[in-house]
Parts: sequence; C-alpha cells; structure tokens
Amino acid sequence: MKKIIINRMLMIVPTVITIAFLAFSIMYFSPGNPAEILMRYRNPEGGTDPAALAHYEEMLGLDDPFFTQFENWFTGVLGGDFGESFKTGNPVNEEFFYRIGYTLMLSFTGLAFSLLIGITLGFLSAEFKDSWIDNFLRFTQSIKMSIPSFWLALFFIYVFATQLKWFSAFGYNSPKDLILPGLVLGLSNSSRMVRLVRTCILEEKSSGYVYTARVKGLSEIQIFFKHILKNITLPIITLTGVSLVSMIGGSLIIENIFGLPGIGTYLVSAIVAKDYPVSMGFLFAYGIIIVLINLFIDVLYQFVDPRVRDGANAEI
Amino acid sequence: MRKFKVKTKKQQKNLIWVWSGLLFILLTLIIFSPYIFPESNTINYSLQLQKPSILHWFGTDEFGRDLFSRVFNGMRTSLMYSLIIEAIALIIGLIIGLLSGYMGGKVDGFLNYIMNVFQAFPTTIAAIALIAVLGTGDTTLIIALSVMGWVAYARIVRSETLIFKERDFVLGARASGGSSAYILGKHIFPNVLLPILPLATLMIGHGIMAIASLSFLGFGVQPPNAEIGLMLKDSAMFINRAPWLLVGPGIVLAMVVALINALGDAIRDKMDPQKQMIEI
Amino acid sequence: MQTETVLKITNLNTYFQTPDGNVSAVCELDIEIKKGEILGLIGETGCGKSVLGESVLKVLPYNAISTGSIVFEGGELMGLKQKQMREIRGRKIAVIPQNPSEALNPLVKNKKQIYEAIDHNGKAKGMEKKKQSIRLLQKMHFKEPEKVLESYPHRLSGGMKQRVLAAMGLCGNPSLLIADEPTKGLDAIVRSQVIETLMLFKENTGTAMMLITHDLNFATKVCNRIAVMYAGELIEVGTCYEIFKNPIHPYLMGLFLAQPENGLIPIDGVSPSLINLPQGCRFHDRCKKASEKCKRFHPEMKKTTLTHEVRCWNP
Repeated sequence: MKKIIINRMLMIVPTVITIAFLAFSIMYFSPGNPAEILMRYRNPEGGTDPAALAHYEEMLGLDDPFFTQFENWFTGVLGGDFGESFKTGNPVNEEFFYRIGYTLMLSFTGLAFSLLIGITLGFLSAEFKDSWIDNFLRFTQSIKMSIPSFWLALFFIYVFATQLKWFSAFGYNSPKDLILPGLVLGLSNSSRMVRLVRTCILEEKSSGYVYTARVKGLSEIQIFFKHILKNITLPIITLTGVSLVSMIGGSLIIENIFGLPGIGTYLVSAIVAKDYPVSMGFLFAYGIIIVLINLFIDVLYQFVDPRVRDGANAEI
Repeated sequence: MRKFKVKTKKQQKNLIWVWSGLLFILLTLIIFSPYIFPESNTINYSLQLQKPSILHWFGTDEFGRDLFSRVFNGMRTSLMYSLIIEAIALIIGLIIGLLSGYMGGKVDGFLNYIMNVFQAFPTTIAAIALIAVLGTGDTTLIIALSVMGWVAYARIVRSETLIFKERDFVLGARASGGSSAYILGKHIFPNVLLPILPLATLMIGHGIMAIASLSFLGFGVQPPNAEIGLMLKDSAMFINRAPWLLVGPGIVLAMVVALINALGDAIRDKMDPQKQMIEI
Repeated sequence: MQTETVLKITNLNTYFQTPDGNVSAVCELDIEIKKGEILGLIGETGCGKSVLGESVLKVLPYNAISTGSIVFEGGELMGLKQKQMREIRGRKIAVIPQNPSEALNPLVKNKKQIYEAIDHNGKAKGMEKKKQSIRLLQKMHFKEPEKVLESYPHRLSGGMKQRVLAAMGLCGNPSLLIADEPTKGLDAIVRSQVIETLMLFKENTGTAMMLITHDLNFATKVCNRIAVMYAGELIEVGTCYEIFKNPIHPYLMGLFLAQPENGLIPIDGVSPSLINLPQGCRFHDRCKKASEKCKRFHPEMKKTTLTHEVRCWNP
C-alpha cells in the first residue's frame, strides 16, 4: 500500500520536469525578444535604447545557455519564486495565490453541479430504461455534448442575467456569482457522468448480487440504497477525479466569459500581453494541480475498495 | 409492468436514413459555401445587426454581413481544420500505437507513460500552452490540437496491434522470415484501420468544438477568416442588443457535431453488434 | 398416493421484446412440483430453464412479458404486484442463485447481507439477529460463523459463498427452493459440497426443490423427477429412474451419449434461435430419426406411462 503510493509519487517526477520544461520554453522559444517586451512595459516612453535593452537582457539572463536559464528558473520555482510579472512588477506567486481560490471554487461548484446532474439524470435514465424519459434524456445529452461550453455560457448569461436578472453577468462580488458559471461548467462536463451512472446502474442491476437481493425479497429502493449505490461509488469517485481535471480545464474558458478573477482569466490576458513570467508560472501551476489531482485519484482508489485495501486475497 | 416500446431494426434503420440525409445537406452547404454564398463577406453598414428575416435567416452582424452565409463559411474553416488535425493526429497515433503495441517491453512502457501524461491534461490548457510557445495563428492552432489529439488513436491502435500480433497470419509471416517493417505494414496496419473508424468520426466533431473554443478565446482562427467561435466572440459583445446573433451559429454548430457523432455511434454499433446485445 | 402440490405451472409463456423481434424463452410450459419433491430441470444454456425460475419469482428483466398461470400453495402468482411478490420471495420461496462468486455484494459485509434476509422475515433485534445468523451458518456447517459474519465476501471460497447464500434462504419458512445452476463451473470437490449443501437445506426445511441445471449426472443423483427442456419447451418429463433407464426423446438420448462416461459423442448442429423457431418439431433438423411429419407438425406432450411424458412423433 505504502509502496504503491510512493511509487506513484516517484512516477510524477519526470512529468513535473517535463511540464516545467514546456512552461519554460514559452519565453525561450517565443518569437521576439523578451527583454524588449519587458523594457516596453517598464518604460513605455523609453524608445529603443540599446544600453537599456542590454540591461534588461542581463537582468533576465538571456545570454546564458538554455539549460542555465532553465535551471535558474526551475530552482526559483521549486523555492516558490516564480519571478515578477512584466506588466505589473508584482511577484507571480502572489498573483497566483490570490487567484487560485476563485478557480478552485468555480471548479468545485462545477463539480458539485456535474455530480448532481449526473447522478440524478443517470439514475432516471437507468430506472426508466427505454421509456420516453430515457430516450428524451439521451437525446438531450447528445445535443448537449455537441454544444461548446462557451455557447452555453452566453445563452445562460442572456437568459438568467440579462433577461431574468437573477444573477450578474460579469465579475465576482459574492459567492452567488459562482452559481451561473458553476452551472454552465457542471452542465457541459456532466455528459460522461450521466452516461457512467446510467451504465453502472444498469450493469449492477443485472449483476448476481442484485438478483440475490431481489430473490431475498428486498424492494428496488432498498436494493438501490443498500447495494447498488455502494458499488457505483467507486467508478463515480474515479470519474469525479477525472471530472475535476476537466473542470479545471473548462474553468479557463468559463472564467474568461464571466470575468471571474481566477487564474484562467489572468493566464489568457498574460499570454496575449506576452507577460512571460506569468504565462510560465501559471501554466506550470496548472500542470502541477492536474498532476496532483491525478495522483490523489490514484491513491484514493486504493482506499475505497475493500478488495484492493485488503491486498492479499486470503480466504478464511 | 412498465409500458415501453422497443424500436425494431427497421425503425432504427429508417431513423438513420433521416439524419444521414440531414447531415448530407448540411455538409453540402458547408463544403460548397463559397459558391453558394459568394457574397458572405460583403459589408453593408446600412444592414447592421438586423433581426432574422426572410432575406437574412440568422440576421446580420455588426458589419451588416449576412450571418447565415457566414455561418456556413465559418463551418467550412472548422471542418477543414478539423480534418487536417485528425489526419495529423491519426498518423502520429498510428505510428506510436503500432510501435508501442508491436515492440512491447521498454518501448511500450515508455510510450505508454507518455500517453498517460498527455491524456492527463485537458486539451484546452495544453493547447493554450503550446500556442503560448508557438505564437497565435491558424497553423499553431492546427499543430497544438494535433499534438493533443493523437493519444486517443494511439491507444486503440496499440490494443488492436497487441491482438493482431498474436494472430496466426502474423505469426506465420514472422516464422517465414518477414521483417518487422513488412509485418507491420502488410499485416497489422490494414487490420487496425477499421477499428479506429468510429473514433475518427467522433474526433471530427471534437475537433470542431475545440477549434471553436480556442478561437472564442482568441487563440485560434484569426480574422479575416470566418469561424464559428470567432463569430460568437463578436456576437457576444452584442448580447444585449442582438441576442439572436448567438442562435444561428450555435444551432448549426450543434447540429453538425451532433449528426457527426451520431454517425460515429452508428458505425460503432454496426461494427460491434455485441455492444447492442448487452443492452437487451 | 395423493400428495400436496406446491407449485403448479400451466401454459406459461415468457418472451423478451428485443430490436430483433420477440425472443420466446419459455413456451406453453406445464409442470408441477409436489411437496418434498426434487424436480430437476435440464437443458443446455439458453434453452429457457433459468427464465422459467425467474418467471416463477417474477424477477424477469423489464423487457420480458409472461402469461399463463403459476399457482403456488393454492394461490395464483401471475397477477400479483411486485410488493405482494416480495412477501413470497425469501419467505415462502428460497433461491440459491447461480454463480455464487458473483451473487454476494463484494462491498457489503456478509453479516449485513444475511441480516437483510432475516429482517425480511421478521423483526429480530440487534443481538438476536447475530445469534440467528450464527445459528443459520452453523446449520450450513460453518465452523467459525463469527469470522464469516465479520468479513467481506471475497474472503470466502465459492463453496462457502454458496453455503452463505443457502443460509439466507433458510431464514424464512420456504416450501420451495429454486436452485439455479448450483454446479455450474465448479470442480468435482466443490460439486460434492454443493450436493451436501442442498441436502443440508432439505434436511433443515423439508422443502420441495426445483433444481435448474445442465448437468445430467448431477440431476440423476439428486432428483426425484426430471424435466428436460429444449428451445423453450418441455420435451420429456419423468421420474429420475425413467429418465435415466428409459430415455425416449432423441435429444435426451443424445444428451446421455454426450456424457463423458459414454464417450462424449456430441449432438450435431445447434439449438434453434428463439426468435425464428422452426416449423414442426423444434429438434427435427438435429434429429436422426426425423421424418416428414416432424418437419411439418409440432408434436404435443404424450404420456407413455403414468409418470412419463414425451414430446416426439416417433417415440
């Protein structure tokens, strides 16, 4: 058990280095001179003074070979120093810690909605398999899967913010402002959950132990809560982890549409503004968050199933 | 006993005809849009932000351009790029999947690890990272999405290769001294093509959606090229004044993607009838 | 000798609606089981014998429809609602499900699964429940019942799981036990354990049994009476002695010849699809004795002795 966890942790080391490498190459390989960009931000009216440019180049260490530059940046990152934003001059990690909360809140709201939608609709679909309810739900699912999340977001903004005025369309003032973006995020990432819950319930319903429970005289409701629910938890937990990753991915677009001050909004504007330290730091952070979530799912999985937990398959 | 109706095979088949006909019409409009709607880029400021009418089914945009024709123009870009992306992803996926499945051992272990890493990352974020490195533009968009798209193919190709590797005709070819390249090219490659067909179909829809999402953020297709995501990005600015501008592009995009997905599902069911049997 | 009839099935039809058409799994089936009797139901996989058991219990999949009459202890089951059926399941009719390795919920402790059966049969409280479970397990010859109660099913062997399942069946007051393929996929040692389990069960309850199996040898060892099914219908019914010593239907004779000790001679061909059943006798295209009549007309069950019935034109 411990061995497995340690093994998984060691496995992520090369991944982390690769992510760092990719993140770092943003500045190194991007067309244009980063020093020039930095100079223009620091001194908008300075013109092109070669001496000043040399100073900024020196400051960024652009003359060093690639690996020295990478090493400098990466050791800084490991020590929690992501450098300073070109644009604002603020330390990148400060910006990050200020914003990550919003992104996580949005992602978890989305996750909650996706679980709620997934379990409810999946259950209905399975319980009324092949009836009009099931057919209708499956039809709407396939339509929903073909609508990009940003369109759904715009539609919801129009209906619930512009027309009904239940929510504000833009920005973050109170936790209430997370409901609409969270709903969109959860809805557009719930298809897999709905399908998983439906298939799992149907599969369990035709399994041997449900048959046993039926012939024992248990009612369908008892069977669902006492037997099926336990068995579908494991796949749902696994998918929840995977969903959390897609929530983080989806939050990037949703944050931008709803103007939430999360890391996604900031990352997009940083990339557009060629604010390299921010792009590098934030992309690296995204990568690490995703790697950690995946690690967490792996480890969690070991705990939930008594068969895995017990390890040996010893008989009494 | 609950009431329900089981669709017979014949009813299912009729349904397939209906929506494949619809898909055919839409694809024709999309592919031949430059000839059907030659004036889609004509700017006319007197027709700014018009409501849908008989002349302009989806209304007009802020430059007075007819949205209906622009939607099909935009879908043409999406479809074309998506097909290019799928082609590149397919080639990478085939090569890596074949190598991974056929070589086994350390090569397989390493490639599998790479696949796991790629699959762990959401396409949007990874694609944006690549775009951040390579700069924004249509070519980078295609590169970024291709780089993220091959894993799904590689996985299937790998598992199919593992199956075919042990088949008699491959073992026979190896016993009679065929080189690895010969066996891979002549015996395994043709056999793994069919199983990836349903996935390839589904991925076209995925590609269209991904292109739209990135373009919406400003990292994808660049103006003056027309593209649905880009169009919706502009329409979003007029959400209060002209909300109908969202409707047309959304419906066409959703319809095309949904119909392509349905086609993929139909191919999968056709190739794997057992999957349906399980549902009985 | 007049003994009480526990279960009387008349004209039972069960079919499934599928996209390919209706699959008729059980066709115009008549059979009865008397008190204390063990009836063996024999047939190859897919001939509808398990569906028969499920029809009696009303635990068929949702796309199944069954008609006819099933009288259990004098009461008609056919029109009963699920809620009323639950009063009978687990109390009056016990079941040993097929495939014991999958018949227990892997994520629920054995104790809880047994308690559910006890709860269904009355209102035993806390300690009483535990005592009762231990008693039940002891009846099924478990040496350390406490340990079994506290563990998860994956700790039990296949034979042990089956005994746990049988123990659950014991806690009611069953007058009928339906055992579905209790020996399927088991090796010889476990198989003899199963026979022991069934006998234990009978000792403890004196119940009638419906033993669904494809294992002819096993059936002839245990049963009083045997019914043979082919493609959804009964083709031969008789006492165990009659079936074993004097099989009449060519299919049954074929089955005996296919036994290992008789040289494993297979029957040619495959069973007909239950969607497009052939005209005439359902066995005619695999039958060596088939005549023109067999191809045209469907035979009915005919009595050859008082207890022996067969569905064949050329007995």
